[in-house]
Amino acid sequence: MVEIKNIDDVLNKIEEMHQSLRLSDEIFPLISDLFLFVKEIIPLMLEVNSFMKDSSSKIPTASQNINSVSKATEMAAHDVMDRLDTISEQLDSLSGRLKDEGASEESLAKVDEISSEAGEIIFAFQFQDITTQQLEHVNRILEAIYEKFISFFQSSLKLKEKSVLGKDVVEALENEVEEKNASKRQEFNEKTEDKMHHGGISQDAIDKFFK
Amino acid sequence: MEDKKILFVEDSPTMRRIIANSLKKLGIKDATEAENGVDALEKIQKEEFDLILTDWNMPEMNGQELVEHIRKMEKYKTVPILMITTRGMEDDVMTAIKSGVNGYMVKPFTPELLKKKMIEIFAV
Repeated sequence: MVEIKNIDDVLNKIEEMHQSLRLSDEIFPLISDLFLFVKEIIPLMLEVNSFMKDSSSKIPTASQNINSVSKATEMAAHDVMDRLDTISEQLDSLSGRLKDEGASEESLAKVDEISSEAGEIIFAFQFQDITTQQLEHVNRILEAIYEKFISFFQSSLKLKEKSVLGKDVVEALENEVEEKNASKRQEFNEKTEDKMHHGGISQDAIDKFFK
Repeated sequence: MEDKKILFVEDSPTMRRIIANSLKKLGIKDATEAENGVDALEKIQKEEFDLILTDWNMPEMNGQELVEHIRKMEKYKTVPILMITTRGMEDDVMTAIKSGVNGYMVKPFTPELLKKKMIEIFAV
């Protein structure tokens, strides 16, 4: 069997088939057209496949980052609420002291107003639960897309194994697409790079570099 | 209202803190918290409550499933349940009502609204 290395080899193969089978002029354009369609569609599918490989590897990191955002906002919210609780306690204590000292109604009302404002701020932290739920939704979508990508990728591998000719054709096209996609892949990787890189190195370890 | 025993079911620690804070401000002395439907059912079987506040979206067992479980329990057939959730579609409200809730609030809510709803529920 003739080795297939590129698209031209595929078309030559069709021509060979044409010669050997002595296909009629009516059938040949149909088959040729079909192969031209395949020639167009396979690189496109391989590009999709290549994109799936690149993007699916990034989804777990993106998903982890979303979880980290939820955790970080929760911790920050609790930190602020702790401080607000302390302020409220101090205001209650101040209010009691002002009453004992016979302070004016106006002063007491002002303390109550500030205390009430502090309570309103605590209530405003409902946004943390709401945004967390929205992020969880995004995460579920990402996970579903990731599973779909993996499933598509596995299907494409099975497709390649179905026939010897199919395997050769797909591999020849893969090599071509791989070269053409190199710059696109680099662009995609740059756009989707995780620029946070949190947790990799401690401050102590950084400081050691400056000694 | 101050002497009522309340169970609130919330998976978000932030929301649990906000609700605990609100109930305290309303003068409620006996409030118990649960992290999800399963945790709530365990607490319900051990103690009796006058009102249950529950979230909808929770792991393990969600609020709607919890309400359905509670309504099957003889001693909780008429205990008021108030749902507090981010789900604000009409269909959601209808589903919650069919499950057996007595009130429904969409997050974010105000302390005034919580107070109003609780007064309404206990007035019935």
